[in-house]
Amino acid sequence: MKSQKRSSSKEPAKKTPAPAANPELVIITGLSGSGKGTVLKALEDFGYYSVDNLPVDLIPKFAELSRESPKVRSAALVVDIREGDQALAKFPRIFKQVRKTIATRLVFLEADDDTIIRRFSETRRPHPLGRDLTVANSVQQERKELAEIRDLADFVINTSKLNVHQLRELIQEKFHGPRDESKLQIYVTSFGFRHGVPTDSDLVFDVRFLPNPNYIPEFKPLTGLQPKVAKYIRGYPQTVEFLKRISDLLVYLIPHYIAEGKSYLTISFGCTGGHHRSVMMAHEIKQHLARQGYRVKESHRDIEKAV
Amino acid sequence: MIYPPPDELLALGPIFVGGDTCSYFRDGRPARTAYAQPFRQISDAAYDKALNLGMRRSGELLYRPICPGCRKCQPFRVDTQRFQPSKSQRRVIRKCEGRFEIRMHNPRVDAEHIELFAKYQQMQHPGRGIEPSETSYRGFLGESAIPGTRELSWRDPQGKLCAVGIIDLLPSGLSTVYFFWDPDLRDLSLGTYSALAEIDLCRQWGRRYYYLGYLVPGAATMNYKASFDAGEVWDGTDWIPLPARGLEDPEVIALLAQAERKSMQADARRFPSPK
Repeated sequence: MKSQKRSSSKEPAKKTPAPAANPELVIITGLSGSGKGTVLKALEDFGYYSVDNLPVDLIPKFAELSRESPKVRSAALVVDIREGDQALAKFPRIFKQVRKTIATRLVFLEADDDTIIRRFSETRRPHPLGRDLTVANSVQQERKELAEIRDLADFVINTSKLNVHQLRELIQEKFHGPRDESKLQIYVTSFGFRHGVPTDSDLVFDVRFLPNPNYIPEFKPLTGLQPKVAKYIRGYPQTVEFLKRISDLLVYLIPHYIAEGKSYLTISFGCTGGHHRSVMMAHEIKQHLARQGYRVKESHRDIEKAV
Repeated sequence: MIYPPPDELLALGPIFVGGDTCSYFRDGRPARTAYAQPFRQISDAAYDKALNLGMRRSGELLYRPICPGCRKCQPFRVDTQRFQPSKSQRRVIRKCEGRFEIRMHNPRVDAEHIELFAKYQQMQHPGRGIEPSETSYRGFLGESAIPGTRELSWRDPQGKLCAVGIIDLLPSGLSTVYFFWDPDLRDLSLGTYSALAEIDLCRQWGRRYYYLGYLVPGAATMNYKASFDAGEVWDGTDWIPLPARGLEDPEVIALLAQAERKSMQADARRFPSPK
């Protein structure tokens, strides 16, 4: 992912997140063309160890692995009809058995016939059952075959009206929790335009319009981290207004970024030299986001450089 | 300490009072200064008002020294309608006239300017002047809090930049902000000639007063101002005519002492100092 790569200079991007408190298994199944791959990808982004198209027979083994391995813990897997009727018949028994050993949730995805037909025609992918049948007939048949599994599901999600992003959001709410922002790492940084605009920022705010403490002799050798400098900058109404607007904007934006599956967010503030105004703003915004419960780190790129 | 501006200076935005050492008496004595850093450029009229309340401009900053117990730095201006050059000033005019082509334009920040500025700083304030970087030059002379700021660039017939004056054009007159020149030309008394040339501009343009910044009795670099005819000193409420008899003259001494006292009282109302 782009944002991961860009932020990797700051610290190694963590592919596997902190393990869940208790081992957990999510099994995804449903109709062909209902979005199983999207859901699996979303869960993977939220830190689930994800396996596509796992043979039914291996589910107990995999559940055991999740239970035992500190690396796996939360796992998600897709079981689909391509496995054939035999495996499908075994699934209910295996599922009930696994459920006794590990917290398991079964997600069943479906969509209206028209939607599935449209998705197959858009992707030009053949329907798995469609060798001898029209797509419409294949969908009908699959629906019938999977009816028993659908009855076992903890969640049945009809994806007809959802786009990829909305589906991710829904999955996040169900499995990730809307208030758990721990997956997004935010960096708030400051810089001086004189030394160049950082290339790894998602959002850059120019604060050169704020009053510049650098011209006040007693502030010149100080930085925006010093309370009296911060107090000076904050003494101007435009600073207060800007802080409020930026805070509001970020508080609005960040949940959307999280919902999009963004793992890293770098917000940069730039002033002329990178000593006073940008430093003060980055620090204030960092504090604000930390108070909102986000994981946020602060850094000041040019604070040591000569003016 | 930062507080709302007094009613007369609303356009300037918040006033900050900070501590520093005195930049006129360079002996390390503590100084206290009121600063304003207007959000946007303020109007020439608002700046004129601030100037007539004793403030000066440096870059985008306006300031007024408000040191407890001292107000030696008195705003000084020349009434150009009454002004007559002295004998020695006429000699300077004769010496310099025709040597330079002076052009007016918006302030420029380029290598040529910074180089000359560095050379001048090195001569005038060896080892303790403003560091001659592009940033400091821009912040000091290249930027302004008002729209009326102009540069007068002086070139010799070969096109070489010899001197630079930064001036502020105001409804009531012309304020000189800074003037620097090539140290190789020190024999020409360019500082004096520049003031005389700018007084001449005031007359041409019908802008009556020529503001020379602070008159600081006892601070060597500011003493030349006292030699100007038709001078007036600010006492916090009014401009008081000052005879051009030099700073040793008993009447001048008395006038300045009174202006200092009255200024401190007026400033205490406008620029409250932290306890």
